[in-house]
Amino acid sequence: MKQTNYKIERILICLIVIGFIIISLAPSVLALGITPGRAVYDFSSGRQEDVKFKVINNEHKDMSVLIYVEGELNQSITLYEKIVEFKASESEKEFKYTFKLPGTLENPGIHQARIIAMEVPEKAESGTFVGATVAVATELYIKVPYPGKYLELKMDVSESDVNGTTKFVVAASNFGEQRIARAYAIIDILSKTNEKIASIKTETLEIDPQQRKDLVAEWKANVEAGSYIARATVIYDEQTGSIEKIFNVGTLRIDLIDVVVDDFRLGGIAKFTIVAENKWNSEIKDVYSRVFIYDAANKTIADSKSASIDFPALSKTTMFAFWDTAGVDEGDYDGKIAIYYSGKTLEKEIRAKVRAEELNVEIVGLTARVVGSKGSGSSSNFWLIALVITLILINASWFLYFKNKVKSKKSKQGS
Amino acid sequence: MRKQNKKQEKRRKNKNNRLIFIILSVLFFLVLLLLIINMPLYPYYGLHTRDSEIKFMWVGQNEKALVDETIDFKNPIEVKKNQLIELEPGTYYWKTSKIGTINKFTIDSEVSIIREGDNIKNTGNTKLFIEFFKNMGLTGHAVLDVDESVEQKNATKVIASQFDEQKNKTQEEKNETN
Repeated sequence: MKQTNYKIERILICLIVIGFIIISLAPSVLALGITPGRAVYDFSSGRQEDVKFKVINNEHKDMSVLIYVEGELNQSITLYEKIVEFKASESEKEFKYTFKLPGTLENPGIHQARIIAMEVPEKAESGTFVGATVAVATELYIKVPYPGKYLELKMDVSESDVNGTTKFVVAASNFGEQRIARAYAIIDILSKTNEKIASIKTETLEIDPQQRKDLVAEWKANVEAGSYIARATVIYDEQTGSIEKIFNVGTLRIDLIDVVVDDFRLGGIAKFTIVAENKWNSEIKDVYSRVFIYDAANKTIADSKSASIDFPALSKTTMFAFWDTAGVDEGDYDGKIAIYYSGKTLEKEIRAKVRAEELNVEIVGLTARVVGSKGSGSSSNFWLIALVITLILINASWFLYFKNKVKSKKSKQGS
Repeated sequence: MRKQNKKQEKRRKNKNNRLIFIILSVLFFLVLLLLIINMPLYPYYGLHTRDSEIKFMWVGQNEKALVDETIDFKNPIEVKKNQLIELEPGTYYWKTSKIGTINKFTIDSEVSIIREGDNIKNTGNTKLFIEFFKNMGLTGHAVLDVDESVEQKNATKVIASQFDEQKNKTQEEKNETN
């Protein structure tokens, strides 16, 4: 009995030791957040503002967070808390800092400071801090206007399908001190090899200091599907600026053109010649296909993969897959051909008509794939309409009721 | 006496009936008005959120609303009723119809990271600029998209801040000239 107790005791000690080792070896999780990531203000002499921010305890744990300031404007910032204690139950805490700007800031552009929240690493027995830590920063940007006229540019492209309308938006922000009387953009559309395909011009707008205006132009994308370059040159009064962006027309796509099996004899090996077309204007690497054949019970009786190929731009290429038909009976078999490329899959259902001396493959059609749609209908409208109809009916009945009452009253008075 | 009581009761009843009639009529016209003017419900004016997925909701017959970064709606995107749209942090304006009210809301950027051993992941809603320190000295940096991770061995401190495309471009241009 004593021996058994002793054994149990030893096992328990071993388990505790193992548990302790596992815990000490497990990587510690450090997590911290801050919001907003940036606050932007325009410069004005002596400007003073309070700015709120939140520190987020993403891991919901007990921790100490040190808050400090660094950067060019650190002397202009007053922090109200330096060390903050978080409890596991607290998901976030709100703080504020105050900035007071000096009379002048020498250079135009952005002047900044960072308010950093850092998880305080655990203290060792000796009293020194040990281990790694993480920190997150919320930034303060003070924008000092440029002398004269100065445009900052950003370009967005709403992509379209082939023959669709592609929309180019050049967001022009005037960070200069002076008003821009005339600003417009000329957008050149170039191929990947820098050949000019088209050139379009936006409308002309005026832009006040600290104001953003969108210069918009549309282009009918009557080109092959693929990647293109939009190069915008913005002319504002007597100055120019430029920006460029790569955009797509259509989507990267491979089409299945045909599937042929030649020189077939039942019991032998069927060679599937899969003809596909690259509709994209660049080469697509590592393309391969798989042929699946199912029996009457929908069980896979063949799953053959072709070799991987690099598919040249805008061209047709063949891939080969093989099926050993030993033990296969004559008849019609359902199946599927899948082409894998750039993380996408094209699937088409097929029907293989197996005969003694021939194998015909028919492409049945595209296999349906559900594309997630987050939008949904108008149930609220239905209820509103129902409510309106009900109210109309109630009002109508009240109206009739009162009318009848007045009528009966009148008839009573008459009699 | 009885007759008087009956008359009073009748009058009271008539008064009540009239009141109900007025309330129902007002309610009817209110609902009719809502259907015509398309009242925006969410995101409401002045909303600040960190959730970059926004579900647009309104009452009315219109099936689409317009969302834009500028109040002049020169480059709007169209959203359907109850559609969930993913937007980048920033301030947006939206309206349900040409004559409808314009609502303004802000998606606040969130700089959040999680560090498990040497793995650092961006768990916020904006692209991050990450600096790695070892013994108080800067040893390198990385740019992380939302949900993207990076491995960095033996960094004693990691500081994450919101990525600034313009600043990064200027820095790259400076490096090229140097």
